Order: sequence, then C-alpha cells, then structure tokens
Amino acid sequence: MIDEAYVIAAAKALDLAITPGHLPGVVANLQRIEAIAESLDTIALAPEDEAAPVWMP
Amino acid sequence: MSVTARIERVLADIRARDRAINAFVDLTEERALAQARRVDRFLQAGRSPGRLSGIPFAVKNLFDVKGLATLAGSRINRELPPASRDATLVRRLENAGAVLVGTLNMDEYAYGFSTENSHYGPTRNPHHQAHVAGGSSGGSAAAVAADLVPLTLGSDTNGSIRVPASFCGVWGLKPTYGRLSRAGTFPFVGSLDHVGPFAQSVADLAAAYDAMQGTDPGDPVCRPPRSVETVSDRLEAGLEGLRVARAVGYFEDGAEPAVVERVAQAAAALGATRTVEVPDAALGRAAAFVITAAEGAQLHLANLRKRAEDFEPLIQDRLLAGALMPAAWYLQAQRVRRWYYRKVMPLFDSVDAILAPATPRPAQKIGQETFTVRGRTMLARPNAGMLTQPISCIGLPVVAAPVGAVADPDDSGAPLPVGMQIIAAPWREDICFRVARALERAGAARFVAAKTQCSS
Repeated sequence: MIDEAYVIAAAKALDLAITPGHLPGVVANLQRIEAIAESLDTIALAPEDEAAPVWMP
Repeated sequence: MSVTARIERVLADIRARDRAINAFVDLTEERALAQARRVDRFLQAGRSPGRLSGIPFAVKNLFDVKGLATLAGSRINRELPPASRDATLVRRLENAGAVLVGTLNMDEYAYGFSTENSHYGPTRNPHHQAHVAGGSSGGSAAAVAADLVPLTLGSDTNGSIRVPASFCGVWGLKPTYGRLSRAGTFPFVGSLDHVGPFAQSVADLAAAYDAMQGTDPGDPVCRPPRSVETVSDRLEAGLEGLRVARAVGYFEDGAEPAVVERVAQAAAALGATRTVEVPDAALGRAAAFVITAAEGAQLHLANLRKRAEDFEPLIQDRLLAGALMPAAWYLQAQRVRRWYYRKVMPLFDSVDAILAPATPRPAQKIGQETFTVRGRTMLARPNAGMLTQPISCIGLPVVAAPVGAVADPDDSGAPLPVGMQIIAAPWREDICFRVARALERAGAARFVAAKTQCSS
C-alpha cells in the first residue's frame, strides 16, 4: 500500500530528493500506478510466462 | 521548378505559417539547400537521386540531426553537444533524395499525448488552433496536416504516432516493433519504442517506409533475419484474400459513439461485416502503462536526482513516482505482456486486419485537464492513448487512417478529425497498407489539409 512514508523511504534509498511541494503529487501518481499494477496481479501467470523486456514478435 | 527553388519556397512557407501552430522548433535551411542542390545536380545529369527525389521532410526533435543538440522536447538536452551524425532513418531518407528542412516539437521526452510543451510552447491543431495536436509527435502530425511538409517522422511508444495522426487527420505508420531502426533517436521506453512516418497519402507513407527499411546494428532490436519487405509495389493488390474485422468490446466502449460510427462506416466501405474482441485489452494497456512508468523514469534518474525542477512541470511528479516503483510491479507487467501476446495472437488465425478507433474522441482543447467519453469524465492527457496502448504493448504494426471529423463532446465548435487503426499480425505491414489503400481508393479515408493562415 503506497503512502507518504513509502515514498519518503524509497526516495531516500535512491538518493532522490522529493520537495514538500512535490510530495502529494508523487504519492498520487504512485498510487495511480499501484492501482494499475494491482490489476495485473489478478492474472495467474505460469512459470513459462517470462518477462519480455526486449520484445521480438 | 528546380528542387532548390521548391525547397526555398517550403522554407519561406514554414517561416510564415508555422507561427500559428508551432510545429517546428528548428529549421535546417543551409543543409536543406545543400541537399536540394545535390538533388538538382543529379536530375540535371539525367540520373535519379532516389524514389523520394526532392521531397521535403522534417523530424521529431528526438532524431539526431548532425550539428544540432537532440532536444527530445526538453530544456535539459539543450546542454548536450550537437549530434555528430544523423539518425539512421534521416540518413536513409536523404539517401533516397528527400530533403530535411527542420525538426519538430513534441512532449518532453515523449512522455505525453498532447504536445503541450512548457519549454517550447504547445503545438496547435491546424484544424482548430484552440485544440491540441496530440502527442507526443504533435509537431510531426501538425506539420503534415497544415501542409507545411508532406512527410515527417515521429516515434510511438504508447500511441505517439497514432494519437496525433488521429487528432490532426493525417496518415501515420507505427510499424512492427523492431522493423525500423531507432539508432540515433533519443529513447523513452526501450521495451516499447517504435519510430515511423506521417504522410498525406498512403502511397507517400509507403514510399517513405520502404526507403527506411533495413536492419541496423545500431539498434539492438532491428536485426536479421528480417530485411526489406517493400509495400509500395503491393498497394493496389486490393482486399482479395484478406479477412477484415472491426474490434468491439474494449475498443467500442472506450470511444465516443460518433468515432465508432466512423470506424463502422470504414468497415462497411471495405465490405467487412465481422467483428472481433481483442481479449484482455485493458490488461495489455495496464502492462504498457506500468512498463512505461518504470523505464521512462529510470532513464532520467540521474537528472531527477540533480535537477528535477528542470523537467517539464507536467511530468515531474509522474517521473519521480515511476522512479520509486517496486521492481515486482515492473516485472509482473513484463510477464503479463508475454501472457497477453499469447492470448491475442490466435485472433490472427481467423482475421488478417483489425479495425479500431485510434483515439476515444477528437482533440481536446489546449490546457484541458479532463475530457468526456460516452459521458464519462476522465483525465485527458493519459487517456488519449487508451486505444493505442494495448496494440503497441505487443508490437503489432498499425496504419493510422484519417476517417473523417466528429464533434468534440466538450465543445460546440467545428468538427475535428479522428483516425482509425488498421492492425495486423507482426511483420505484416503489407496488410495494413493494402487495407489503407483500399479505404483511400473507396474515399472512406482521406487526408484533407487544414487551412492555416499567416498569423503575423
């Protein structure tokens, strides 16, 4: 569950400064990504469903 | 008229009329005139300089052009040294006799669907200047729509060729992932980046595409055994043997009824009565969204650490959020992409081409935060690409066809153009082009130049 505490901790781990003015917008954007990422978690993937970072159709 | 005289006229026309739409960022006058004189010398000697002899073209400013910094719509990249050589596709077009006249505006780092660029100003829709041109290749589509140049290049990661082609009423090609070389272009999302042309006719789109084909060691995904498979010589082959179907479900629910009607009319003009449903298109879009957020941000992590405030204000928070994403989300999205590909590909056992709207609706106004689709209010900028993302997610080739104009549901002004995707199986651009040409011949899809006046 993404909240302000996660954003602050993850930004610290990445040495990324999030100014107070940007914090609400970053949290909102990451929560939007989270909601979309959760929709992908509904799929039961098989082990052979490998990641496709370089796609060769 | 000599090619040199024609190019001089084109450059003067751009200087006069582009002020109204802001499609161009830089003109390459000296270079254009040198190339024009070279083409004239060929012609005077009775030789052909190539199939694109004397055709003026311009490129989205993420393509390397020797001597210019590759801006990719950003302020940050102004500090880069000038490119030491041209992008592969620029070189290939010039080798075919075309003449580069300038570089074009875009969303910063290609992250957007509207070309509302705070550093260089918004590109305006030539059909109605209060509206966006679409993006991220907005300058590329607008320049063709305003008839400033007949040919441009853009890039498409999630819809950045097809969305502006739709909003501006021009032809566009997003080829199969890996078909055209991206060498010498500033990347956005390596997993999803494509490049391709915009044009005013199917024949011109095909001629440019054919001239640019060929593998390239400079692009890790544009490689053998695929080689040149020209389409210009097959444009008039007609529809015989092709099974064409219209996409319903996600692609119908996600577009205004008037847009769906335009696609249905195009299908009817082709005699296509079948419909298909692309399975799990929403999940394909979701996977593309997550992959984009992660890769798009990671590419800029160093500058986000040092100078986040120098990025486009519209994307700063989105980039910072993407940089903080857990790895599990990204890898799940990449795995879902493969799963989704396996679900979609069987469709092509029973159909050869799928017709679907390119955008949910026509262009929104510049500065408009939300828009309406079937009475639902949603964020305008990310949702302009909701119908293109599920297709580029798995690299399928698409020709975007201008299929007429419809009213903006949020505005009582004049109708604005909308486009249709003609989608085929990987590496079957030839089918997209045959269907496109059949539509054009039937009058069901056609380019209409926007009338833009000098705004001085």
